[in-house]
Amino acid sequence: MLVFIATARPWTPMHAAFYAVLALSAMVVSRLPWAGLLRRLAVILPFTATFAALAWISTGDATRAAGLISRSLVSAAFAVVLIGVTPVPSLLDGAGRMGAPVMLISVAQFLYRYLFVLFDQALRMKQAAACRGGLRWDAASGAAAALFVCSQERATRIHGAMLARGFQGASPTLDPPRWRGVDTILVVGAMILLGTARIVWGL
Amino acid sequence: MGTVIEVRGLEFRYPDGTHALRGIDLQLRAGETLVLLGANGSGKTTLLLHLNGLLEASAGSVSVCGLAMAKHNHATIRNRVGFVFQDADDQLFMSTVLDDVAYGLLNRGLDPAAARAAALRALERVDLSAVAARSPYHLSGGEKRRAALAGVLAMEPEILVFDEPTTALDPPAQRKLAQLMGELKQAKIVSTHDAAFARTVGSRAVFFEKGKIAGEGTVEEVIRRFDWEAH
Repeated sequence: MLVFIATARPWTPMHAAFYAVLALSAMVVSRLPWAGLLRRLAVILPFTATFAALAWISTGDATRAAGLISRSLVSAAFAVVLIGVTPVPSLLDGAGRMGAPVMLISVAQFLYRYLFVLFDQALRMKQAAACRGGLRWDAASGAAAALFVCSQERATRIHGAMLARGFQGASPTLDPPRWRGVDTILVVGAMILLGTARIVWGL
Repeated sequence: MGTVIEVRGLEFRYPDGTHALRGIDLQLRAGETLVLLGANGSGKTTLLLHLNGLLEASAGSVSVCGLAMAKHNHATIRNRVGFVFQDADDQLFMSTVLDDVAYGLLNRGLDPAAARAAALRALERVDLSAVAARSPYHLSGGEKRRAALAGVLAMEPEILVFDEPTTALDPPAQRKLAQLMGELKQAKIVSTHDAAFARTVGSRAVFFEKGKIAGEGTVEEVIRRFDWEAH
């Protein structure tokens, strides 16, 4: 889907409407809470709005700026639905099964795991600082350095624990995702729909 | 009783130059529980990390079940030595408790059905079957410790290494852990500060001081000789 959105040339209001309808349909089918979906979409808005404003100022083309925002929003909508209905470990596992390099998958798995380590460590430090009157701005750089040192040490211990239980570069799970008939129907159906839209209507 | 771990003249320096171990000689015999006592920073954890190749000796040797500690033996040795880390949070990294307990089994190449059955058995053994589907991050401190132990027990190691197993456990959880450890037939090596816990689980003790073994004997002898009571 993201490939079709990224390669749609030119990007017209018709394109935006077509992909927005598909994104909305995906959101409805996913049954994810609307508030959460919209909140996540709102996160990317400041970034795209900045680039759109820059494009508008530099070229004077308001249509192009609006296109940038709409294209980013529909792309993000599909990404948000995908992340919302599929846990990241399963996504990575799926990517691995589709032939993504093992090293790339391992790095992504570690990044995902260590994000939580970093967050957890930051939370502990924040609580410790709060107990002693809060974190001052002039101490923030020192705290950031301490955060990275603590996180690095903890990451080393986690890596040791993984090695102790036989880690050899991949983290297999008990319930690896299986390709089912409905997946084939979904993929083929989507390809037919998008292919027809692209070939017949140029969307 | 045969020797399952033999440490000879072990020396270790950390990259910052800290001389953490100075000529350690130690044996662990089949079926016994050896307790390591000593102050913080005396070298207990550093020694334990050598027992499955997580640290590489600067000098001296470590052998496990007759296998020399060398890179080509690491996989075999890690299958034989189960390591329960000081902080259970470091050891629990999968998305569910069941996945975490099965982690080592799947790495060993067991098929998912057999790994699931073995993991469920290990969880039952530590009385944690009810939380199999939960995220490890949402367990209590005692449950996390038992989940980490289940992950190790599932692999059926011949030797168990415990690093400060009573840290952050309340007294009932400590009693449960001591009882569970008593039921395990494997040779065990346990680092602890807790004299009462050492008395409950240990059959022999060594005392660490500044990277050296300062004394050894029965747990009671070592506790008395080094005045290692909390009160």
